[in-house]
Amino acid sequence: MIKIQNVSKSYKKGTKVIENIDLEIKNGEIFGFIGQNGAGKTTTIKMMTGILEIDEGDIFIDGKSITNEPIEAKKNIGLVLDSPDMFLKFKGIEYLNFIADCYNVSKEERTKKIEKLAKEFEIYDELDNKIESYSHGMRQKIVIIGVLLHNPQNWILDEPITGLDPKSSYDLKTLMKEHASQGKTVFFSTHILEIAEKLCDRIAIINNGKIVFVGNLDELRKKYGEENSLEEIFLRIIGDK
Amino acid sequence: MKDKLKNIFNLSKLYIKENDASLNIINMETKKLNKKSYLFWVYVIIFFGITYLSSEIISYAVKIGKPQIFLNGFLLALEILIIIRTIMVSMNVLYFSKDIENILHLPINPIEILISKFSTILFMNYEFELIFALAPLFIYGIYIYSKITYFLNFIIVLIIFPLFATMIVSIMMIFLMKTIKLFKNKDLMQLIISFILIFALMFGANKAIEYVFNNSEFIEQNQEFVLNKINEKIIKINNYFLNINPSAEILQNNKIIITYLKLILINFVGFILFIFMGNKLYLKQLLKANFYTKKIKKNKKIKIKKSPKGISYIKKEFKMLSKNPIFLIQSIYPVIMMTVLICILTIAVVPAYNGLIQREEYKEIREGLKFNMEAVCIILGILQITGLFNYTSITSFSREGKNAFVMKILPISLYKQFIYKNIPQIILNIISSVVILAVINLQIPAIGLNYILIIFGLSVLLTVINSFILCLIDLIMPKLKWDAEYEILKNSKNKLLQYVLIIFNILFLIFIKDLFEKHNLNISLGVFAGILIFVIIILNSIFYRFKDKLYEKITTI
Repeated sequence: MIKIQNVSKSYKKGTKVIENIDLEIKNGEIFGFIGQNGAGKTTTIKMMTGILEIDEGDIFIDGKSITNEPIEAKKNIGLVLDSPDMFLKFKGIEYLNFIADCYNVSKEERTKKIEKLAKEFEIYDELDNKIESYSHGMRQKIVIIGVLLHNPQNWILDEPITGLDPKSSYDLKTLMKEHASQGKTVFFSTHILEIAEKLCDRIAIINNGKIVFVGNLDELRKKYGEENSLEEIFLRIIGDK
Repeated sequence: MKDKLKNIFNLSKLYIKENDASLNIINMETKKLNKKSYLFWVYVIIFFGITYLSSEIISYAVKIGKPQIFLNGFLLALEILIIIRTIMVSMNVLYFSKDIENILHLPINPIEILISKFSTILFMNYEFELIFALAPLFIYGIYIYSKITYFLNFIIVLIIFPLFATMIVSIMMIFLMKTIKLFKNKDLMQLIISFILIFALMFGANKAIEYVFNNSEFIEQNQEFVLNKINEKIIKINNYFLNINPSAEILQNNKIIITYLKLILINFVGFILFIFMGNKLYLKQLLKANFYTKKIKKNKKIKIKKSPKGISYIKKEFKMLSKNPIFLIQSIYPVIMMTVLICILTIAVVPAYNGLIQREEYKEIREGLKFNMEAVCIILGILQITGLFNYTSITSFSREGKNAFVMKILPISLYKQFIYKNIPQIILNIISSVVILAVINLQIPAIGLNYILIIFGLSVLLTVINSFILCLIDLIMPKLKWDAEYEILKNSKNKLLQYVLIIFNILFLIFIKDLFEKHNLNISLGVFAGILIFVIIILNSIFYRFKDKLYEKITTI
């Protein structure tokens, strides 16, 4: 479970890029975080994962404060980014070993998981090659395997579908659903409304650093007019229409 | 022809910008000196430092009536520096620069590309001359009361001088790229070629130093004879570099017209050779380099293994350094070179010095020699200068680039990660210290193993302090946004702070030497070690207290 409690952030004094955000993402839920570019999605994710300091408020990952108990909180997070260009000079297996060591995954467990996931993702034969030789989709897959190695309770993804081919995109969405069906949390940011529509149990819309809507899609339509498409509703909310 | 020259000029301008070759001494927007950049001031300090140093050497050489010793030695040193610089930059400029892909589809003749690339390397060498050679040769002219013709000649010589070395090294590079089969692996290739060329140069330098200094015929001779002999030997070495002696002759006003013709002929032949080789080999290789794709291995058994977190993290740091040739060449390579160079100098100079002080006139010096705090500080100073060339800690966070955020999401405390990031520099400097101290111990057994071990201990403490401070600098001012790895060190302002730190350390060692000069050596060493341990504890507690604040800039996604 992820609890964002009255969180604010400023990069410049007096200009809040995130203003008093309150959100609660329950176990077993796929939660979409929607907003246009520059709305504050990535800043929020940075604060949730401990990359960025929180100015006001706090974020709790399974009850552990990311500010006061960062190590315990981070143990329960798996982060996937839109740009998976990580550790390019490492071989796939070297990257996975490093991540598994950091999360203290036993040799038996990592062997089982790497073999299972890498074969499922059709990437097993490539693990002994450098990540720089992988395609974008393969790079995304290696990062996802890395995240799943320690079986985190909370999965946080920043624009995860960007740049993926249809097959990889489908695989990723399936994995997100599987993860949530195991009673775990999936939080992802996107500006592609169709994905949110198909995948999410609930969504939050962020505009200029403020949450302007939280709820499921039925509630959204009820509030803003059922005859409108999600795209039109979104544009109306952010004030472009 | 006019179009070709225009193309070459425009391409050269582009390459100079793309390769970030300019020293940024002049602000291109305002066309004024870039006084706001502190790099500018560092160059000013280096310029005046070299001016002062060369002025001292020239004044001594003039006093003993042998100014040509300076000229011959200086031109040899300048040639070697230009060769090293060309080795370092030519492969990137000629083969692995980002611009190649954007240029190849344009209707530009390959020769124009080749000449523009050559001009870029030459431009870099001219900048180098501006800082390192302009003042010394100017001062030389003043000291030997030269006429106005000297000053005209010295400008022309400076323009012609780097041409030959730049052409020859570029030809060698093109030839090596052609002959070595491993060419297709860019990473390995860069590493191997730089390694071969630099070590060949070091080997040559070693032989030259041995040849010039390590000679029994000096022992029973007077100073004038020794200096004349050294000068003769330098001239003989300079003969191997076809352009040095003619340049020296012009500067000494000897047979100017004939020597100019000789110099022009040498460079003309070199240029024809360069164009011929380039025409035959360069473009084909360029295409191969550009369109090469790595061979993918399939079905190899993967190694899944478990290591403790800390070990795994440190291994990751070493892998990041060793798997990336640019990091390896920029961060570790210089300290290896420096260690080898200091060992070579020690092996060559110490026996020569020992031979020299056996002479009757140096009896007093010989009898006054003893191992004291000054000797300890000199050895530590040498180790510090070697450490100056280790750029591992000063780039420890910048190297992460886009991966930097991973540090923040890993369930490993930021404090521990900081400590792990210090380990590579500390280990490398320890290895370097062990090698240098072993050579010193073999060459000067009188120091005694116990003192060598104490000096080693002190050098480890100093290394820990340096590494800690350098990592801290990089953490506070990291350069995380870069497109190519070489930008990290090349454009790093932090590395200048590394030089400042080492200068501060050397001043600190001078202070320590003065402080403990009249005290018991063992007690002094104990107190000195105590001071260093105290500094480490203070630094550690400051970092621990402010670690969250210090990691503020590590936020890239």
